[in-house]
Amino acid sequence: MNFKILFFLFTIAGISCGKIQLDGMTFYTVQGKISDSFNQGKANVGLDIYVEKTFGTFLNANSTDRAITASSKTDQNGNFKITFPKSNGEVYLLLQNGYGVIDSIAINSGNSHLIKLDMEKLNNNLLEINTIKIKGL
Amino acid sequence: MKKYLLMALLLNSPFAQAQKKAFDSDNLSCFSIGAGYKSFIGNNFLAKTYNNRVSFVYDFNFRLYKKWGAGTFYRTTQAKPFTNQYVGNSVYARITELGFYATYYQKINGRWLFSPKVGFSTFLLKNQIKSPYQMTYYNYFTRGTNFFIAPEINYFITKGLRVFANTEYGFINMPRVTANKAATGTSYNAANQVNFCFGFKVGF
Repeated sequence: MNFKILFFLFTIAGISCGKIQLDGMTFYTVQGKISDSFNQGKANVGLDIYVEKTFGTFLNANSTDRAITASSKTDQNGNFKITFPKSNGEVYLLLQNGYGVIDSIAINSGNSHLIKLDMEKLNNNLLEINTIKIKGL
Repeated sequence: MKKYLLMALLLNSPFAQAQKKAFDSDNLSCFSIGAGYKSFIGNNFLAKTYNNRVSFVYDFNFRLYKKWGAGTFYRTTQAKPFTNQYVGNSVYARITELGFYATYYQKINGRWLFSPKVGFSTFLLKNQIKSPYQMTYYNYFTRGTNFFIAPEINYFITKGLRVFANTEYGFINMPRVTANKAATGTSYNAANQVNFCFGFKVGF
């Protein structure tokens, strides 16, 4: 009986401790530009801030927690700006509408619609990224 | 004759006696329940994100010395963000305030009581994001302090029961919140709020 209770508690603790946590005291802003292969700004491209965190539990060594913490779209010139709360996971820019990256920006393990954001380059809570060239997939 | 008899009975009834005594009483300590709405103003992320929303407040007020008193209150407000531009994809927000104040009692014409308040409260904003993947909710909290002034008017219905209405103007200070003001175009460290409230008070 006691073993069952301990097993249950360890499982719950493992799941709850490893999950994505958001910090409402810190907000980051990422801004940049989306263009096509001819360097023309691409309007109305939907973008998400995608957060991913891999953690281990008592039962499963590699569970992944995923969330979309903010969304926006590019303006008429292809510029975008997204503000989102700080998190304890890896942060990516997710291209919507079936678009994928066609330049050398670091992407997530073969998913060309996921662009990893280097949060260590934040300057005063602002991350400015180079123009991202995309194409329809 | 019957009319005069009826009037005499009513004037000498226990209810009428209670009414007469009510407005001379110094029984000012009370518990109150009120409802109202909250509005954020100014160039700040609160005013740019949340609509005016309904609040509920629970308040204990104690008379301490002659015309002076103090009190504590708990106020909760549900808010729905109308943009995701400043706080992310929040689908639901709740503001919780626990406050303390000093007040002054000034009776006006027996039935009316003017009771301005000055005080402070905690300001806790909870936002909630819904994950499209696991149907999980993620909460995140923004904290600050609210300093306020609140003129209030009371009307005694009976000795123990009164109605009240007040307007509160608050200065919300959030020095520990960080964001890029130039990039976001708004302040995350300071905001102003106005709360309108009305309700009932029960004396004790």
